[in-house]
Amino acid sequence: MNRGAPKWVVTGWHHLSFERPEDWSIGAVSGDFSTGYLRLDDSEMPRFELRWERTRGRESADQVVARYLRNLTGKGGKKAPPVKVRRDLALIKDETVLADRTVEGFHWRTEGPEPLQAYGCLWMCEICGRTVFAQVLGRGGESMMTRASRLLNTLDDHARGDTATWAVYGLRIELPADCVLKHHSFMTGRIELTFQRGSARLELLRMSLAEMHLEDRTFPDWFQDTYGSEIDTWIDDAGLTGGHPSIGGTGQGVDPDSVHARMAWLPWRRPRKKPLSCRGWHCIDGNRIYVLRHLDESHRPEFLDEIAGTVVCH
Amino acid sequence: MQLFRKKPPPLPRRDLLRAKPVRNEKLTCEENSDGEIVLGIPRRKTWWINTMSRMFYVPSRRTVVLDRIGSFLWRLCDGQNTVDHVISTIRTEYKLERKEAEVSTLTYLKQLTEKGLIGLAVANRKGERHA
Repeated sequence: MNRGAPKWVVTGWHHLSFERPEDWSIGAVSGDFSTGYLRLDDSEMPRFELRWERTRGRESADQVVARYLRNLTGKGGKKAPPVKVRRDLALIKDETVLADRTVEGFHWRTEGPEPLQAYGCLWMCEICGRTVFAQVLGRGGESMMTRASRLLNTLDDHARGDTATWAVYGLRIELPADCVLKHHSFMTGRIELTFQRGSARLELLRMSLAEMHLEDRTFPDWFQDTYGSEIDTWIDDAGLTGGHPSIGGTGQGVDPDSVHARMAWLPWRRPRKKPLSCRGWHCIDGNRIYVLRHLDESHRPEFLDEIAGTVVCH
Repeated sequence: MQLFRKKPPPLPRRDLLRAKPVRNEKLTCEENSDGEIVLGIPRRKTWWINTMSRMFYVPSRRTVVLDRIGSFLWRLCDGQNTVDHVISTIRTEYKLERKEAEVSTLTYLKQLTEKGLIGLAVANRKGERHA
C-alpha cells in the first residue's frame, strides 16, 4: 500500500533547527544551549538523535567520531552481534554549510535478529562554538539514505540573522536570537516555554483541547476569567494572529524571580510586580488556546504584536 | 503466594499498540443525558465486605462516570479496535499531536486496566489471543 510521502516540518530547539518527517515527534529532550540532547521517535522506535556541547579540548571531529564508534562496537561484549562501520561519508553536500564546519559523516549497522543502522555526522561549528552530533536511526533492511541525507542537510546549528526558530510539537515561533530559553514544560495538552531576554521575560503557553477549557464560554470571557486579575487595560480588538482574532491587555504581573519561598511574609521579600503585556487567541482550526505574556520594565505591546505575528498555530 | 510472585514482564511497545482493549463483561454500561458513560461496577464478594455488609449498608454496585473524552475512548474499546487505532482516532477527533494523544490514551488505558474495567487482548506468537 502506498501511503504517500510524509510531510516534512521544521523542529527548532536552542538555535538548532532541521526538517523532519511529520510523524516523528520529540521523545526526549534535556539540557540547555551549551549542552543538551534531543531525540525524535516515530510510533515504533527512536528515529533521530541529536547531541550538542561546547567544543573543548584539542580533540578533532575525526577523533570524537572514532571514540564514539569504538564505544559502540565495544559495548556489546563478545556475544553481541558485530557492528559494521563506514567512515568519511559525504552526507552533507551544501558548500555554504561546510564553509564554517569540519563535518565527519559515518554509517553503522548491527547484525543479529533485529538489525539496526544509522547515518550520522558530527561537526564542530566555529560560529557558535558547539560540537554537534546527529544520527538518523532505522531498521537493518530499511532504505533510509535519502531520508537521512535530507534531514542532515537541513540541520543548522545557529540562528541565521536576528531571529531563531523554536518549533516543537506543531508549535512554531520566531524569536530574537538573544532570547534564552529559561524553562520549558511539555505536558499532555499543555506546552509552556519561558524565555529570558535581559531583564525581560516572555512566556508562551499553548493549551490543547480548547473546547474543554472554554466550557461553553467565548474565548474573550475565558481569557478575562483567567488573566483578568493582572490586566488593567484591555485591548479587545488586538488584530488577527494566525488568522484568528486576538485579545490582549496591559497591567501588572508578578515577577516570578522575585517570589521567595522562605520568609515571604517580610515586607522586603514580598513579590515584585512588573509591567505586563498579554496577548491570547483561540485557534479554532487546531482546537488550541495560545497565550503570550511579556514582563518587562515598561509595557511593550508592540513587541508582543511582533512576536505573536511569527507564531504558526495550525 | 503474592509475596514471591514474579512480576510479569511489561508488554513490548509493538505488541501494546497492536493489542485490542476489551471491556469487562461484568460491568453495566449506560449513557446519561450529557452523553457520558456511566459504569456500574459490581461489589466484590470478599469475606471482609460480606461481613461489613451485615452491619452497614454496602451498595451492590459502585458507579463511575466517565468524562466526555473518557466516554469517547470507552466506546472505542469494543474488542475490535487496536490501541494504535484508538490513539489515531483520539488524535483526529481532538486535534492533538501524535505524542500528546499517545501519552494521554496509554495513561488512561492503564488506569482503566488497573481498575479492572478493561483488559487488553494481545495476540501471541501462534496467533492466539489472550485477554
